[in-house]
Amino acid sequence: ELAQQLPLPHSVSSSLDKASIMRLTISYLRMRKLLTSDEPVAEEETELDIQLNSSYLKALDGFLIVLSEDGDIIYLSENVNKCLGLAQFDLTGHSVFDFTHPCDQEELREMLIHRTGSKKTKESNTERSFFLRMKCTLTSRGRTVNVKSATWKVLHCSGHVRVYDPHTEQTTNGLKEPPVPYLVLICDPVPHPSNIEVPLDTKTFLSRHTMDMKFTYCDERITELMGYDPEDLLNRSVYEYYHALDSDHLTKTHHNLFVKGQVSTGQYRMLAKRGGFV
Amino acid sequence: MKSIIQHTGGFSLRLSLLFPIPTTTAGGSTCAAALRSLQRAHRLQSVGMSAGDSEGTADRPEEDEGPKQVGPSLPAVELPRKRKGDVEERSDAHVQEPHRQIEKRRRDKMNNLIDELSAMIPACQPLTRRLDKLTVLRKAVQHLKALKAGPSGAFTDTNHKPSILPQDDLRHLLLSAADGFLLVVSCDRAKIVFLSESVSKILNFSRLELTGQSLFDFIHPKDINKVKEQLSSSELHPRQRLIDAATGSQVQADSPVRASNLSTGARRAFFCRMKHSRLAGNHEEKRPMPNSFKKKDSYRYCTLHCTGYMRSWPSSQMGLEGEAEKETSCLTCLVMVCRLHPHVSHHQPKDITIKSTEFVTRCALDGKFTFVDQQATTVIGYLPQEVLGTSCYEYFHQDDLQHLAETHRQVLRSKEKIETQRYKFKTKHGSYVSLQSQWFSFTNPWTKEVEFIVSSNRVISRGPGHTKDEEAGVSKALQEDTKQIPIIPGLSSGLGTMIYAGSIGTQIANELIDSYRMNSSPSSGASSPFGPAQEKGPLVSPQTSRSASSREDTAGSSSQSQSDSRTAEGMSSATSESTAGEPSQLDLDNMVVPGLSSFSNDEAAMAVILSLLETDVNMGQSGQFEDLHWPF
Repeated sequence: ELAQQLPLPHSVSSSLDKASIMRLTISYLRMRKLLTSDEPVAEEETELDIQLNSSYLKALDGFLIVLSEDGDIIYLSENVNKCLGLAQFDLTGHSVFDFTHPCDQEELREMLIHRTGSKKTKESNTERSFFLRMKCTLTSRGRTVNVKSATWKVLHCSGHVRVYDPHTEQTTNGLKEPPVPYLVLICDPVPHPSNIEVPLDTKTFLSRHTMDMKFTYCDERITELMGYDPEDLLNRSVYEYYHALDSDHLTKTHHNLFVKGQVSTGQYRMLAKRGGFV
Repeated sequence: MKSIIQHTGGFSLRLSLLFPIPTTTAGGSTCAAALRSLQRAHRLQSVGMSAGDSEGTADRPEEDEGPKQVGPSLPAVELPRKRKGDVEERSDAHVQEPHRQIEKRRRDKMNNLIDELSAMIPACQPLTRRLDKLTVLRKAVQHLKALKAGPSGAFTDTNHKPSILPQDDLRHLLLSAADGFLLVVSCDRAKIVFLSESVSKILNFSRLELTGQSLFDFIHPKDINKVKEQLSSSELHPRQRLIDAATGSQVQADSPVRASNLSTGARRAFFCRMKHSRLAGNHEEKRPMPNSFKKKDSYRYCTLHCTGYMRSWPSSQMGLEGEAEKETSCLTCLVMVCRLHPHVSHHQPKDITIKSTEFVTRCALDGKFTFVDQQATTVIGYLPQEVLGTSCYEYFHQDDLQHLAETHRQVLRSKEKIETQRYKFKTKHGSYVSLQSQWFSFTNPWTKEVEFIVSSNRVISRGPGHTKDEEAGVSKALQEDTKQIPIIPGLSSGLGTMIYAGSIGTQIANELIDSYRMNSSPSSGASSPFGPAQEKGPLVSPQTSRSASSREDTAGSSSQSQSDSRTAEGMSSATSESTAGEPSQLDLDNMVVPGLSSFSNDEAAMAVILSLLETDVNMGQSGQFEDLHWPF
């Protein structure tokens, strides 16, 4: 009976077992609680707005995930199955640590901690951005595979820690609940360079390196962008071209690469042939 | 076997309430009796929930009243569940050992879930007792129904499959995860067809202003080519070649690939820079020159990570004109979610805020420094030891004396922090630095007397032309020295009064001391000389009382001033330093050296006064000086 009440498509709801129903109900209620606390933006939604609401998810490369302080998945958007092959309803309510690489769990735990800033810093840093390995059951051909034989996929997770402050709603016995922090993340897959689905534009060039970042191959587009000929760069370490202030960040990214397998850097500056940074 | 007894013991208690089984019998027989009754009920129901659940409910003794609440039908429903678990366990005890544990785990899990669920439902919260599972479930169902009927109304949307979260909530979530907005641009002319409301938060432009404009107006000029390519349709840009990253060779761009670029669902992902206005709400500035470059202050660019897909609409829906002449009757657009790029390795400082230099000083009642922060040296040029013991009034600019003295008076009487106005403080090299301070007096809680004044001083940045003005002012003031006596209210003024830096402080302090004395012990011997002393002559008596009182309350400073006076005496003859134009002769009658007076000048004056006092001692005030340790 409860399953019927859940706002799920009928095909799904009828096939859920009791534990899942419970799980999903709890998560759903939690979500509702969290969302009602946000200030409702009083905007008139145009026709277009409503139509396009559905396209948000589609436009995103990755999926949206909302985590509680302990790592329980409160909400997961549907497109997780495009990205990871796992179904939304299988994961909701479970702990996210079941699906992430054991070595990354420590990092994830740190991310979940919401430190309220001291009086001096009024704004605590709520941004989070990190790489996470999650179980992926998609094979390269696009078929899904059993969870037990899942491979790891690297996701770039970025988001914020928001706090749900129930000061506006109090329970009837007058107890005030403590503010609950939760983490909202958008997880994008890191695009593999060999994936040619998305065409590279002229401002992008490809290069290949050895493990210590020496160039072994470079696309010729680099010539117009930075002035170098590919032959100039061969066998030179790319660290020679990074801006000094960015080298710290890039070194960390390099480390991450070895740990996780895939990584995307942020913006950084690279030396052009005739001086100046690009 | 032990665990069986535990479990059965548990629900035997429960059963005893439901059935007229005598509880006085031993546990074992009760157990057996319970089993029998269960078996009787066996045919009534099929097992709804797993065996584990029934055990779970049995484990909660406080739920005894629960079933009674719900109604008579409950026992019938609950029993079969219990029965099943029990029967199972009883029958295959030795094989079911791990099975029992699995059951237990499932049970516990269900219990936890039920608990969580009850915590979620508002109806369940006020009740302090734990509710029975079914009740919780029923309430959950009711709650969900209520939510459905509520304002969210997501379920009325028949077009889309009902998802666990309605669409606009999803949008809110997305926005809280990343600062982003939805952007729909037409592929042919890059016209902005649609923007979500959140763009105003990110780019500081309102939605209405941007809709309908060309996207290229808002993109950094260098990114225009890139965006053009991303929007491009069937013809590939001549330079754009697909490169097979595995082999490094170029892949022939054949027609299937080309067509797919434009088809619905083709994805795009890129980074671009878009203009954003720094001033939120100020829309007028945006109008002129949308192509301004990066350097302009009013336009800044922020890097956005745009991901999206192509989508085409039949033009009839959009209602746009001018689409008829296109070959395809569809309007193809790129639907993108643009997010502020979260991963910028170097942060460009937007507003560099410099913390202004602050330093703390402490001074005695009369304004003499007793402690000076080391940071003060960077501001005022003097080392701490150079200013200790000198009155702060020596460094204040003449113009500021008035309000500073007033503040001094105020702070001695009040317990709050008082902020002074800006004033100029003389530095070692003769120039002035603008400061603003907060003064706060510290009172000894036992004696209730003000012990010292703490001053937290902040440098106010000054313009470059300042120093010249100050110097000019200084020289002017020097000339006016002998002529003008700054009038400080409350202090004895008049031609005959010596108003010099140190005196201001001490006089103010004295007023306070007087008020203490009046309050505490009006007939103390020390106070008597003040009366006649003040009447006697403004010149001498203030100094007397000042020095006396200052000696009495701060022994340290007295010895210091004494030694200062000695050194001053020695130096007075050889004086010829810092401030030019300073009167070389100490004119007792109207010597005004506020703020400009040098170290030696002050002390020289002091020395003279003390020597005068000496002569006065014989005029009847000798008594008070017995405790003064004068080396004369």
